This record gives sequence, C-alpha cells and structure tokens, in this order.
Amino acid sequence: MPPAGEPAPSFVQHVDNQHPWVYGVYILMGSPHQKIDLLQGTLDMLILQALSWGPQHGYGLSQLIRSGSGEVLQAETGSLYPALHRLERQRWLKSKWTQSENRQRVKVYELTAAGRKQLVIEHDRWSRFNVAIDRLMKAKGSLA
Amino acid sequence: MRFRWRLRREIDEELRAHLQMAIDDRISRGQSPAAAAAAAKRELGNEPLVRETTRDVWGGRWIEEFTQDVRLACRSLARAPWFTAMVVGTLALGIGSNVAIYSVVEPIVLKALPYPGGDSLVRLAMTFNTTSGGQRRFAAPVSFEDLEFLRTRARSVSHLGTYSNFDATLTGREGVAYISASRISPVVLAMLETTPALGRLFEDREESQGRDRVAILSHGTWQRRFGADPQILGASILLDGVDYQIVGVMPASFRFPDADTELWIPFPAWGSSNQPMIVGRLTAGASFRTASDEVDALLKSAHAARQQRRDGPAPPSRAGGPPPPPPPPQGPGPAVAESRVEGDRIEKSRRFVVQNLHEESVAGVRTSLAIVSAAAGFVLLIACVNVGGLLLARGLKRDREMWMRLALGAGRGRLVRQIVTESVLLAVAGGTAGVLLAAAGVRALRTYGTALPRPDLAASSIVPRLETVGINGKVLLFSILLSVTVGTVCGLVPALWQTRPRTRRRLDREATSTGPGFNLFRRSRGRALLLTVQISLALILLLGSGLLVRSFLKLTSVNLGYDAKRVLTFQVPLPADVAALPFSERLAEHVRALPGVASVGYADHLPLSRTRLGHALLSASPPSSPIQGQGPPLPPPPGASGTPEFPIVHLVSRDFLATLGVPVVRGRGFSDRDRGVQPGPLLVNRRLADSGFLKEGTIGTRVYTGGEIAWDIIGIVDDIRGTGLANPPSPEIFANLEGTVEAASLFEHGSPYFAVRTGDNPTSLIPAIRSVVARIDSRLAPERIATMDEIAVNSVLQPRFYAVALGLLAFIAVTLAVVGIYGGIAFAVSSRTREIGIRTALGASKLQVFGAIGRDALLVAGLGLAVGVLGGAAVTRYLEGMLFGLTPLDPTVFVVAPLVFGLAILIAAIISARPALGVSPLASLRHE
Repeated sequence: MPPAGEPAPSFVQHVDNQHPWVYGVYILMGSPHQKIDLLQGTLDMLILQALSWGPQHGYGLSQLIRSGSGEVLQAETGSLYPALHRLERQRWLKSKWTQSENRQRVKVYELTAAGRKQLVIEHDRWSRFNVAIDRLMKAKGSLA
Repeated sequence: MRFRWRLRREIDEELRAHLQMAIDDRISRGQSPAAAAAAAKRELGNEPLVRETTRDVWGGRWIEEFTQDVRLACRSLARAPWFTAMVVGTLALGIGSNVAIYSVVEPIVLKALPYPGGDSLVRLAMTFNTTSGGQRRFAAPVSFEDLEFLRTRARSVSHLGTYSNFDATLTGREGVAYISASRISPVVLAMLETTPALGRLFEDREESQGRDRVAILSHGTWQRRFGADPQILGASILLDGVDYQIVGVMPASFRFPDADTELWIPFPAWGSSNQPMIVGRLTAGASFRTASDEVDALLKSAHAARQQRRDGPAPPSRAGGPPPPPPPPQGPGPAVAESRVEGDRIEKSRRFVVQNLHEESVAGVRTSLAIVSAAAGFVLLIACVNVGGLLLARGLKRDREMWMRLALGAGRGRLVRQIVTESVLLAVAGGTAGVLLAAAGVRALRTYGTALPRPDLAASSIVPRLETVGINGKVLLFSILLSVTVGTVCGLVPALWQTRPRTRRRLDREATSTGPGFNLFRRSRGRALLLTVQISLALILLLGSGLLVRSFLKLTSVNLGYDAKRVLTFQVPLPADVAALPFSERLAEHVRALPGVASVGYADHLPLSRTRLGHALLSASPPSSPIQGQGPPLPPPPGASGTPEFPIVHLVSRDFLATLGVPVVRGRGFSDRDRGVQPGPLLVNRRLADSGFLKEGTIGTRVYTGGEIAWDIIGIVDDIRGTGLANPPSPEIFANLEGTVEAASLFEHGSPYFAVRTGDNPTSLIPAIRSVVARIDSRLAPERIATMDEIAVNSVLQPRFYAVALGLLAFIAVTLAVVGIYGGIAFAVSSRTREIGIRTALGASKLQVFGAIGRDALLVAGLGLAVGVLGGAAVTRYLEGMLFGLTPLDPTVFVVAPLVFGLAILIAAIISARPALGVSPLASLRHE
C-alpha cells in the first residue's frame, strides 16, 4: 500500500475489473491528473464516436479521444482495451489485423451497422442525461 | 482452449503495438528514447492486469483459474512426493475398498430383478407364530386347486404360477450330460416379459397333462450342446429318458431362476402335491399389503369351503387338502393330543402374505453385505481423517505463505478454491488408483467367492449373481462422485482454517503461545479427537473381523468325520438304457485296477451333496412307538436336518465308507458276506444310535423302512458333517448296494457318485478315469469332477468370503489408523520443537519430555481403544448369524484385538516421538 497522504500514481491503481459498471477516464487538467469515473456507456460512446470518423487502432483511438476532447480527456489503457473487446464481442465493432505506416502489425477496429445504431442511442441517452443534470444544477431550490 | 490461446497472443500483440506507437510518438515529439519508453510504460499502467482484464471480457476466466490451480497444485504436489504418495495411497485404499464393495452390493441388493417391472414380482409366503412367541415365515405351499382358484379370483396379483429346479440327464446329439433344468409355469415365463431368441415361449395349455412335452433351451446350452443350430426348433431331446420337443431358445441375458439353468420345461399343473414356490406379479395399483389381504382371505375361504363340503371337523386328509399346518420346528411332538392343540394354535396364527421376490432372494445376504458395506465406510472415514490431518499439517507449513497472500489482497474464496482444487486432485488420483485396486479386488472376490458350479452341492454360492459383478459405468460414476466428495470434504476444512482471517496480534499470539505445563495436542484438540475416533473405528472393525476369522478357524477345524485328503470324486450321467448298478460295479472294478488307486466306492450321495430326506424309519421295538398306527409321519420341511424317525438314507457300495475313511465305531462295516443276506445289513451313524430312538443295544436291532422292508443293524459308524460343517450331524442310515435288492432298486433312478482314494495327487487320475469310462461306454464321460477337499472348502466359502473381506478391511483400517497416529504425534512433536527445546534448556530431562509426550499419546490411544471396545460390544451382535462356535462377545477376541492394536499404536507412538529426544535447545531455537 502506498503511504497515506501521497496521491496515487496515475494509471497504476485503477483497473475496472472490480466495478465493471464504471470506466476510468482521466481529465488531463491540473496536477496531478485527476481521475473521474464515468457511467457505463460513456467510454463506449466516445469510442463509437471516434470510430465513426473512420477505422482506427487502439492507440490511435486514445489519441483521437484526447485530441477530440481538446486535450481534456484521456482514456485509461486498462479501460480502453477491455471496452474495445467488449464492443467487439457485442458486434458493434469488427476488427482486422493490418500493417501500420511504420510496418507494424496492428489491430484496427471499425464500426459495424449495429455499432452505428448504438452510437445514436448512446448519444441520445447522453444528451438527455446531460440536459437533466444541467437542469438540476441550474434549478434554484424551487423544485418542490 | 485453442481460442483462448489465440486470444492471449492477440491481446499481447495489440498492447505491444500500443506501447510501441506511444514510444514512437513521444520520440517524434523530441523525448529521449529512454524517457519515452518509461513514460509510455507508466501510461499503460499495470500491463499484466490490463491484459487479464481484457481477456476477461471474453469470459471463461474460471477455466483459466482452474487450469492455473491445477497446474499450481500439480507442481506443488510434485515437489512433495512423499506427501503425495501418502495421501494418494491412503485415498486409494479408502476409495478402492468402497468401490469394490459397492460393485458387489449394487447389482445384488440395490438393483431389482433384471426383468421389466422386476419390482412388482412377488412370492407367496406364509407366516405363523411359533410357540416361543416369535414369528416364522416360509414359502407358502399351495395346491393346484387353490392356485387355480387364486388365478380366477385374485385381482391384485396376476401371473400366478410356480417353478422348481431339478437336475436332469440330457441325452442329446453330443452324448449324455447332467444339466440343471427348471420346471416353470408357462404364465411365469410369460411374466418375465422376455422375447425368446428363437421360437416361442410356452403356451398356457402346455401345463396340462399330455401337452407338456416341450422344452426351451438357454442360449448357452443351445450354443454349447447344439452347435447354435438355427434349425433346432422341433428337434427332440431325451430328458431323464423322456422325449421332449424343443420349441424355443431364450436370449443370453435370460437367467431365471439361476444363471446356470440350461433348460425349461412346463410345470405340470396337476396332481395333488403342494407347490412351495408360488410367484406372480402385482397388478398396477396394488400394494403388498392389499395383495396380502386379498390372497389371505381367498385362500382361507377356499379352505373353509372345502372343509364344509367334507362334513364336519374330521382331521384333514393330506392328499389334495389344505396345506397342513407346518410342523413345529422341533419335529413331531411327543403326544398326539398335545401336538393337535399346538397345531390349532399355529393354524389360527397362520397368514398368507405376498412378498417382494427380489427382496426375498437377497434377504439371506442382505445383513452380511450391509455389514461389509459399513466396514468399507469405516475404512473410508479413517482414510479421510488421515488425509485431512496430512493436509492440515501441510497447510501449517504454508501458514506464512497463506497469511502473506491474504495480506496482499488475495480473495479468501480464491485461496480456498485453490486448496480444495489440490485436495480434489489428490482424491481423483487416489480414486483412480482405488478403481484399479477395486478392479483387481473384484476379480479376486469373484474367483475367490464363486463356488464350484455344482447345483448338487449343498452350499452353492455366497452371493446371488456374483458372476455379473464387475466395474461398470455405474460403479465408475459412483467412484468419481465419491472421489470428488472426499476431496472436497478433506480439503475444505483445512482450507477454511488456513485462510481464517487473522489480526496481527492473534498471529503473534499463535506463534509464541506456550501455556503452563506440556500438552501435546493443546493447539489441536480437534485433531486429538479425530485420532481417538479413528482408533475406535478401526478397533470395532478389528473386533468384528477377529470374530469372523476365529469363527472360520473353528469351522475348518471341525472334525469332518472322514478323511477328505487325496479323494477324487465324480459322477457319471447315465442314459436311460444303462442300468446304474452293473455299470457302477464295472467302473469301480476298472478304476480299482488303475495305478495309484487305493480304493474305490460309489454311492447315491457324497458328504455335502444334497440328500434325499423322508425315508421313514420304523423301529420294530418297542411296538408301542407313538408313530406306529398313524401311517408314516409327515416328512420334515425341506432344508431341515434328519430326525431319528426320518434319517438321511445313504445307498453305498461295500467300500464307499472305507474309501472316504469313515471309521466304524462299533460292530462291523459291510463285507462280501452281506451279499443276498435277508434282512439286509444296515449301518447307522453314531447320532442315530445315541438318539435313543432304537431303544435296546443298537447292533442287531431289526428296523423297517418304508413300512415293510426289514433291515438288521450290523454296525455304527462315526458321524460325518454331511450337510455343512456348521450343521450338527443328522441321524443317518447306510444300506449296502450290492447286498440288497431293495437298495439296488432305489439306486436305479439315481446317478452314482464315485469316490477314489489315491496314493498321491488325485487329480492326476482324471485322464485315466476318463478313458476307462469311455471304454465301458463310448457315449459316457465323468462329470462334476472334484476332490473331496474342494467340496469341503466349497461348503465354507461363505464364511471364508466374509472373514477374508472383513479381515482385509480391518487390516487396512488398522494400518491407516496406526499411520494416522504416527503422523499425528510426529506432527504435534515437530510443531512443538521450540517448546521442547526451551523446556530442555530450562532443565527438563529427556525422560520427562518423552514421558509428557507419551502420556498425551497414550491418553488418546487409551480413550480410542476403550470407546472401540464399547462400540464393538454394541455392534458385534449383528454378526451373530455369521458366527460358528462363539458368541459375539467372545472374550479371546475382545482381549487379543485391543492388545495387539494397542501394541501397534505404542510402537508407532514411540517411533514418532523419538525426534523429540534429540532436540537440542540451540537447534530448536534456530528452528523458528
């Protein structure tokens, strides 16, 4: 166990096998990097969205999520790959092995038709969730 | 598995590529290669964990963990070969003995008769109260008139009929042979719902006179004696000289009533005799109770109706009448009036009952097999305790490892699973070895326990259908279940204990605890208790087997009354056209001339062969004998021994008794002088002479058999154990075959047994005898060849079987218990090395240390032995029916067994405690 008081070194601690309904995504702001736990489906949605721009391998996806979020979100490797494999198992993704630019064998993921539909569903759900949270946060105690 | 392997490779490669790209990226952004690699690795995180988690997405994690556990267990067991061998060996003995016993018990006791609806096959029996207040039950004899009445009226029972086995001389194409055949009611054959392999079953009308000359062959007989001739149907055979037509062949699986039944003919359903074996099938919906009520009411009403037709309470005549009340067990009462009152009372308590045929057929062996099963269970229990102890001891050595792993966050369930996997693995290995042991054991049991295939001998087989016993799928399933259960149970307790949650303080306390005074088992009272239980269980087994072994030794040391050594016996089946007596005389003459033959005799029976009963013997004096004027008294029920009034009759050649070595006690034996003498000379045995039935000095007394044939008693011969070694000799008479026409005429329908006394090995004579028989008549051959020794051994197979089986189990149990004690004490001593060292350092002498250990060990052993003796005294009474010549509380056994066992424990304890003597204080402190 690390001595108390010191922050946990990032990336080391969290692996989502204990609580499969929570995904580790880091917010790359401040120091040290702060980890946030997102609801299930959020990382899935991010992956599906990133893949909707075209086939991509795992590392490329993590870079896309990072750059696409304006350098704010960083998917944890220990969450990214389980999520990819889970989505593949659910047949929302398909994969094939290809050569990368520097002639490395990489596994490239691609959205399936089912995956496209799922992306719409996830996005819709996320928007409604967002609106609801937003509304709650802006309410002025007059809910009763 | 292939999929998982590929998955693992792909994920590895995927992550490797990820890492490589991350590094390349960072380098291209200007980081140094080393810094880039470190940063990328840090970003990736705990790589093995990431891989594992990703793999888990695809499920099947348990497979991986399981293979992991198995691999780990294999490796750690391989590193402890002694421990592994010990556990596997112990479990092999425990599981193997249970598998062997189960494979014997399962088909015999647990399985119903192997026919469709075998559970609803029933037998008619009769119960009545005895004078002593008990209840006796035996097969109900029913006349054909009553049987017909039952068949038309009974609703709860169908297919009522009968069967009985008999020996017949079959004259077929291949010569003459003895076969065991069965007369069976057509309806009973139909009841068993077996389709014949060839031809047809009997038709119902074939049980009536004139139509009953039809026969059905068994599959084996058809193949062996008729060359599997497909054209066999319609062929005729001679059975005891009577012509029968073959109408069918049964399939090989059909074994009714016995496995060695070779032929069936219809049971003739006429005549006035009462049939003792009435069987049938319960109709759907009927219970044994309702069927019993119905049959009892029907039979009693039939008897009452007939009684009335006959007008009044005249004593029932025997022929065709209702079944006579069974005679009281002690034979005819002394006075007629008294016995009539007795008879009435018995008559009133009489009740017909319907019983399960299968249960009746195994009733005789059920108790014995239950005892053996319980013994096997004891052995398994002892083995489990041993293995549990060994695992616990091993677990203690890994105590720190377990504690460390728990502290590092290993799940308790996961650890328990790992430990149990190891013990189940051990149990499966032990079970596999056990099944191999059991297979060998069952084969041994079968050869050891299978009697001579001789329906003519009194004791035929130990357990019914033993020949079908073997390791089959059911037995394998049983052993797998048993192994896994044993493994789980043995492993679970140590596993839970090893992984118990412990605080640091408790850990410290456990490591150093030393209470006041020395106590070997302080930290393991449970283990001490288990050792005690083990000892008492093993002792109970030892007591039981000791009783059986001692009883068997007593049985075999019984004076047979003849000299069984170097006597060869055989029988020659004779066709109808060969007269028995001239043939026998001629054969005896020829055999006597063979080299190595000392003497030859022949007779209608051998000792221990089945005998005829029911030749009434009338003593001429005193004339007022109570049975005179009453006509011949009723013959005793089958299976009973003879009485003075009904001695067993032997027809013997002049030299037969001398050949067997039966000594003449008084008077003289038969000689050539007796030829043609009137009245014929007769020998009686000592039992008859001493019975007081022949009132005056026995020799010279004139007696009558069958009412009119006169005999003069010329001598008294020693008693022989003719019906079994355990049975007291019956009254017997011997008539000389050559001497008298009457004896010779009785002999005519028999089939002679020959006895040949030889100088050395009797079996070497067999070829010579074969050729001699063939020279007299080329169609004939000797059969049922056995030495008298073999026949004697055959008669004690059953007690020998159980003595050996229980003896073996007890031996295993005692060995395991002694090993358990040894291991228990050795472990207790070694885990207290430090304490012993400190005590020695503080001035305790070796003797004191040794005494302290010995005191605790002996306390455990003594307690176990005491409980065992008490337990044995409580349970050995179940062996009572299997014991000969001693009581279930035989003092010799109850003193010797605990002494021997105690001695063995003492030796084991001393050996196991010896290391404690050598403990040097220094070494022991370094030990921690």
